Amino acid sequence: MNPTRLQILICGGTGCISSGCLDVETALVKSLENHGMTDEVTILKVGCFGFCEQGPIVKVYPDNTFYVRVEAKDMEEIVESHLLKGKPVERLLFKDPETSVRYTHHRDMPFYASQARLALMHCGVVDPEKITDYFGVDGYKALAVAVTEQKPKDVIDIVKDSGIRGRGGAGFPSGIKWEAAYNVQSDKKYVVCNADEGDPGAFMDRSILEGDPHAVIEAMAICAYAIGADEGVVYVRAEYPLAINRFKIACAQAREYGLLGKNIFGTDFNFDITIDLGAGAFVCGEETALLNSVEGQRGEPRIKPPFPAAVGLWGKPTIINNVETLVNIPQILLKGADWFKSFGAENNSGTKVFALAGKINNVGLVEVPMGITLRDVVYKIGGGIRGGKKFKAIQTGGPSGGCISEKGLDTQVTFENLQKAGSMMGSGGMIVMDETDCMVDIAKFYLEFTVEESCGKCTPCRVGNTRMYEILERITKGHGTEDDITELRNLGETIKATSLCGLGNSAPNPVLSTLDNFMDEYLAHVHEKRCPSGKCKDLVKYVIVPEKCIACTLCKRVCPVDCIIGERKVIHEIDQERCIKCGACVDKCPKDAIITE
Amino acid sequence: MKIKSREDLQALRDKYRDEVIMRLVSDNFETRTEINVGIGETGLKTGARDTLKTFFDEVNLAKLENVSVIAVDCIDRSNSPVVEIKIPGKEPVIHNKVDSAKAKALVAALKTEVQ
Repeated sequence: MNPTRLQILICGGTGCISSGCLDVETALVKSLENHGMTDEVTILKVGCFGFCEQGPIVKVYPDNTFYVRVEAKDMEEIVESHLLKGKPVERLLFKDPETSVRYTHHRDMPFYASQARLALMHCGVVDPEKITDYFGVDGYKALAVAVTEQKPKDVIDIVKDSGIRGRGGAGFPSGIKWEAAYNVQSDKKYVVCNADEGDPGAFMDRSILEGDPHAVIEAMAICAYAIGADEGVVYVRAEYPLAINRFKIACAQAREYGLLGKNIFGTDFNFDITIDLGAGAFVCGEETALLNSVEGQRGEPRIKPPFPAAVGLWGKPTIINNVETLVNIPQILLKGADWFKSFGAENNSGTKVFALAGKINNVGLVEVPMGITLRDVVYKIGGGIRGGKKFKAIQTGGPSGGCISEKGLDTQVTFENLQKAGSMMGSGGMIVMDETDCMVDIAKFYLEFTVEESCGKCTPCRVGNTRMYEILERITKGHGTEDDITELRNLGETIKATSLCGLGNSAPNPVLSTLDNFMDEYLAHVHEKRCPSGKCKDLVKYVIVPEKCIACTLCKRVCPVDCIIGERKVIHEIDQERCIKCGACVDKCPKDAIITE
Repeated sequence: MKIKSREDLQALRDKYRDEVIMRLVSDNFETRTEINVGIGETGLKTGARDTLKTFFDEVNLAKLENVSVIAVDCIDRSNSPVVEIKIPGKEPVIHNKVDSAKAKALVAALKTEVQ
């Protein structure tokens, strides 16, 4: 096929599909036909660009124009004005909400400027359903060099030297893990790819599988060659249909070209991959629970040691790596360990992908060099707090990560620093909270998730976390005492020290970190029976200030339980007995006459 | 087709490189050379689309990987088709009334300059 003058990339990640990118594609095809330009343009559906809040995203090459929030009805204008006459459609360019500057190229946008894309290098560049695109970007070259020219030990040495650590959360050096499996003698070994992404809101693994599936296949094959395995398993949650489908297509293409199967690159190296679907239990992201699940048993963690590198799947030596860890491997082999080490911080080489969410202007998937400060992530990339509100906390590491306050904002993001700050790297969730969030309520919210997801095997996690949840429930209802706070800390520290797996070890983090950083809020709940941000319904009372009320009946009309007394020209009042504290009246009042007490 | 060796893979890479190269170099706008062809209303009437096509085909034929051919709005209506060639680190040069023959000559000249 001859290349065309123009290539148009439409984001085809799950996020953009929900915001209508398929209609955009249909409209584009139609407009091109109308203008007789079909032969001049190649349309590609690629993986996630990361700026999901602004989706669907359409990118025009070679101009490198980056259109945001494109709708089907905009396509005619793009074709007519931009593609036919060379005049980009200004109104569809990204406009910075703070400065009102419009950006043509994505690289200049603050959201992208501080990012370094290694793991997401091909996402939004190659067509994930075309192995030929992957060939074009030197795909499978690292595998070719490894199996034809390097000894397994050479490969392991490069990975070790690069310093890459597990991106699934624990941060264990991948090269050392591979070496351990390599050193064990066995007739059978396995490579498992952990794509059981469980943190609510995190979607980096999904985006990689959707956007660059061949890199994951190549990395698994490299790992298999290095440790002496011939079978791979991808454990992915069933609720990722698009990722599963694209990965299946990629596997079939790799088989067709002989990149999976027997005698790969004409050598005696054999390797193939099967896909195993998980039912979405959070604990199955823990590697030994994952292995149990693959074997058809209950998803409960095993006691370590022995580690999976020695005794893993079906009792055989097994390497389990996260998707994001794996996707870095081919580039490390191609470009060398020093290249990888040129990104990041000491003992934390490379980058990390985060799913940035919460009360922030720019929401999406970001990849930053390790060692970047949280402040840069929140203000430079995230564009600051939405609606001009005040920053209160950032929670990293998913539901069992800790909340870091304003004073920790200059923390440099590394595995160790986040741990020191009472949180963790986790698989890369980052949720920003503003002044309207109640930290006791937030802690309760996350603990509810981990209590629900606890597998129940060990007592500290099963019982301890439930007890902590009950205490938080008491405090947020206004029945807490000072002893409850002491008890929370005791329980939390005990659970951390005695639980069997990572889920229990980290579940108390949201509580312990908020105790450390936001003790004043706990004390307000306990001593004054008051929720400073007005989130805990049982502690909030809405009242109408008579001096401000203009008796317009707007609040009365919006109240779902009709508990506002008064009529036109009669000052209103809230019947506290019947009020359900939904806050609808507060939002509606034109005079800000309704306040919380 | 089964890949049996590194050479097989290299052949496939070279075969499909053309399709992805545009996406790879477009992000390096400090280092890429740009050929901007004005194809606005006037350009369309004066045959700028043929000029554009010639530039694109010639650049591909010459395998100039780091050169992008971009269609832009009209640069100068009275001398259309007008082409601007931007080589990194040098002043952009404007060429007036560029037809297909002139386009071929310009790419040939560019070949010695950017390689």
